[in-house]
Amino acid sequence: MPSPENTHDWLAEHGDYLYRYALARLRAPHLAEDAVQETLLAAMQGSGYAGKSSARTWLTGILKHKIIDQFRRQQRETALEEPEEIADDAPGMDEFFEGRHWSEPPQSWGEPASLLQQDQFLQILQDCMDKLPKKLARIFLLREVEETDNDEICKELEISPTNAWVMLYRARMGLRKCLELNWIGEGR
Amino acid sequence: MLDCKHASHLLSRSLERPLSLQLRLALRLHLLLCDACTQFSRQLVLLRAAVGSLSRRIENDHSLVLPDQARERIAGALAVRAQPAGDSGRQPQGGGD
Repeated sequence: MPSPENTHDWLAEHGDYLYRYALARLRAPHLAEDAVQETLLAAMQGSGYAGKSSARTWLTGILKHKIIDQFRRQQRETALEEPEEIADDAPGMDEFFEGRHWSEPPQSWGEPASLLQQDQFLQILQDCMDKLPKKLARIFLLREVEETDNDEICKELEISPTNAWVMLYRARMGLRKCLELNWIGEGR
Repeated sequence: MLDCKHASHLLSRSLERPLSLQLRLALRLHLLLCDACTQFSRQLVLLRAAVGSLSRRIENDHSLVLPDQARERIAGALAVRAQPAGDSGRQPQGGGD
């Protein structure tokens, strides 16, 4: 078991790193702070650190689990607020289509390599993610940033694969529409 | 023949799990004939890359640091937990759920 001194050293040495790692996934400072705290508390109690990997790698491994715990907790809380948000088998995307065709056909956003370098484009994407229903935004982040695979998402969040596909689809559809309105509309 | 609604759904799903050969072929045929869904397919790839890029920026932004208040709070929580647990053996978790 690591000594308390170790844990305090870890907070000093790796606190900022762990915080940024959590922030990149949870996108909320208070949740990121909580995740760092839970990680260090778990590290202090755990016997997992054998000095084989670096302390940072080991702590990051614990943090990943804490982040998924946060997601799960939040999804449960949101479920109470938006119970009808996601039906299992209903893509419910009629707003994007007129009959069988796109109501607003997707447009080119520009050269991918240059878009990814543009602060403005990334900022608009961030704003668009903030506007998504929280449940969709979280599963999208969990999938795309953490690169959690679909089976694991389903297991961790206790949802069916179909439900996960529908939620990711809706997140992507919502984001692309928002980007199209805000990026093509004024950015170019 | 796939319509755009179905095709867009399959395109998103194909990022999660490989489609059957039959669906892949149907989708490819649809994309050959449909500019809008071809753009959508590019947008999906770009979205994935852009979200990754945003997160890497956060991870690499060294101006983002654990706020002092949080650091003190965490140090306090660690100190409390480090005290001998007494005879209770197992201490309750902080979350309380």
